[in-house]
Amino acid sequence: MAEASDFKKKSVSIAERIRSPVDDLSENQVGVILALPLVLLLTLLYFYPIARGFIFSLQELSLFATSGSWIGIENYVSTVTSSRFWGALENGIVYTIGSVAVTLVIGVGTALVLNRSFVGKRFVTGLILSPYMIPVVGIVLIFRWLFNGLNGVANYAFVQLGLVNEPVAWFSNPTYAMPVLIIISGWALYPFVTMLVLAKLQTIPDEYYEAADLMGASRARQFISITFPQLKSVLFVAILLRTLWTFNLFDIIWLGTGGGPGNSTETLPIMAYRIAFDGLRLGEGTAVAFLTFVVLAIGTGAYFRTFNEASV
Amino acid sequence: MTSLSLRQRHYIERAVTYSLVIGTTFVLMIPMIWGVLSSMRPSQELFSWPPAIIPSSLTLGNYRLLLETTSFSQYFVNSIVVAILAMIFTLSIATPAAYAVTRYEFVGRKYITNMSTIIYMFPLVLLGLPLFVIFSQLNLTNSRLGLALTHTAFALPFALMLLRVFFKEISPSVVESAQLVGAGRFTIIKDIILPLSLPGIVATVIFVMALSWKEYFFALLLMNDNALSTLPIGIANLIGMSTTNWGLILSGVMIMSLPPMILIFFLYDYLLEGFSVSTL
Repeated sequence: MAEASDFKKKSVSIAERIRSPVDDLSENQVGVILALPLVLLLTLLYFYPIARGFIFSLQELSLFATSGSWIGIENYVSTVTSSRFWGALENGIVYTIGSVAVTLVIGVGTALVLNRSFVGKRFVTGLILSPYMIPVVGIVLIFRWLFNGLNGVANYAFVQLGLVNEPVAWFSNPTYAMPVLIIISGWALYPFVTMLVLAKLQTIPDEYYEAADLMGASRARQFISITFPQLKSVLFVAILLRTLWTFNLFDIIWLGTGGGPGNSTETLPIMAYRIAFDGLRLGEGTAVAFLTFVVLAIGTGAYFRTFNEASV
Repeated sequence: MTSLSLRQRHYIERAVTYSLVIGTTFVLMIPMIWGVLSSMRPSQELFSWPPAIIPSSLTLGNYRLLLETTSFSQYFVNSIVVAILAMIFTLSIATPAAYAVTRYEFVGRKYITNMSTIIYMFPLVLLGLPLFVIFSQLNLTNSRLGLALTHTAFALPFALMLLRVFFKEISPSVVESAQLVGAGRFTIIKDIILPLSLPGIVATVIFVMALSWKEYFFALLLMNDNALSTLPIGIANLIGMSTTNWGLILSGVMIMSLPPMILIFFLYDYLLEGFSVSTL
C-alpha cells in the first residue's frame, strides 16, 4: 500500500505538468494503436507467407525459379496418391503417439515427485526442468553420442542388461531409429508437461487432502479421487499442445536421422523439406506442408469431439 | 499397517520421497552428466570398450581445441547478436500489445488473445518454405537481421502470453487511483505499470533470448554462410566433418547448453505462472 501511495504522489506531480495528446483518444483507439505493430508483424511473417505458400502449392515451381506454371491441385493429387505420403503420415502418427506418451509419463511423474515437500526443492525443480532450455541441437548430439553405434555407453548398458545381444547402430537401423527418436523427444519435451501439471497441482488446496486423511483415505485413493480429477483439464491441454507440436516437429528428426534410413523415419514436415530443398520442387513441398496442416486440423477437430462426448 | 506408529509412518514417507527425488533426478540427468564427462576426458578414452565410467583424468583440452581450430567464437557472437535483436523486436512489439489486451476494450481484442492458439497449429515447414523465398527476394537470407525477424515471429505468441500474466497481476485499483488524481496514460505506463511489471519483463527478456539461442529450423533455412551461422548450425556442422571428433563436439554442446540451463533456476517460477492452463 505504501508503494501505491508513493506512485500516487509521483504521478500527481507529473500529471499536472504533462497531459499528452494520447489522453484525448478513446480507449478503443489506444488499444488498436498499441496492438497494431503486433498485428502488422504477424500479418507479414505468418499470414502473408502462408498465403504465398498456398499459391506456390498450385504451381509447378522449382526452388530457385522466378516463376512457375499453374497446374491447379495436381501437386495435392499426386502427393495424396503417392505411397511416400501415406508412409510419412504413418511414421508421423507413430512418432507423435510414442513421443506424447513418453513425455506425459515422465512429465506427470516428475510433477508428482516435485509436488512433494523435501529439502532442496528449488534446486531439484530447476534441474528437472532444465532440459527445456537446452538447444535441440545439443540434445540430439548428446543422444547421438550416448547411442553411438560403435562404443556408445547405451549399447554397453543394454548389452550388460541383456536387452540386446550385440551393439546396435541405433540411428541407421530401420527397426531402432524410430524408438530412439521417440526417447530423444521424450527427454527433450517432458519439462513442458511437468510445468503445466506442476502449476495445476500447486493450485489444489491442501484441505482436500487433509479432509481425505481424516476420513482415512489411502494415498492411492486420494490420487484417484482428488488429484486425477483436478488434472483432467490440464492433461487435455497438454495432450493437445504436445500432439500439435510433435506432429509438426522438424529438428529432432532432421538432426537425428534426417528421415532415414531410407524413408523409415520420414514424417510429413521432413518430407516437405526434403522435396523442397533436396528435390528443389518448391510447389510440391508446400503442398505437402499444407496437407500436414490439414491432417492436424482434422485430428484436432476429432480430438475435441471425442473429449466432449467423453465428458458428457 | 496398524503396528506402525505415526512417527514410523512419517519416516517411511520421508524415505520414499527422498529416494523418488534422488532417483528421478539422477536418471533424467544421465545424458547431461555423460555429456559433460565425455567432453572433459582425454580423447583416446572416448573410444575404449567397455566405456570407462569414471574418467582417468579431467582435461579442458577439447575446449581449447574447439576455440582454436573452429569458428566457434564467431558462432557464439552471431548467436548473441541475433538473440539481442530478436529480444528488442519482440519486446517492443509484444509489450504494448499485451498491455492493450489486458487493460483496454477495443475492436479485435478477442482475436489477438486467440491468435497464439491458432499459430500453434501452423507447421513450421509451412511457414519456412515461403519465408525462404520471400527472404531471398528481399536479400534477408544470410542476414542476422533476417534471422532475428523470424525468431521474433516465433517468440511473439510466448512473449504475449507471459507479459499478459504480469500485467494482469497489477491491481486495477492502483491504476484507478492514479487516474483519479489526473495522471495521463503515458504517466501511468511509465511510472506505475513498467516499474511494477519489471520482474516479469526481465523474465520475458531472458525467455525470448533463450528461444532465439536454441532455434534451429529458421537458421538452417536462412543461413548458408558459415561466418554468419549461429551456434546450433555451427555445432551441427561439426558432425559433418570427415572424422567426427566427439570430444570437440560435446565441448561445443556444453558451452551452448549450460548457460541457458542455469537460467531456468531464475525463470521457472514465471514460466509456471505463464504456462498455467487458465492463461493458455
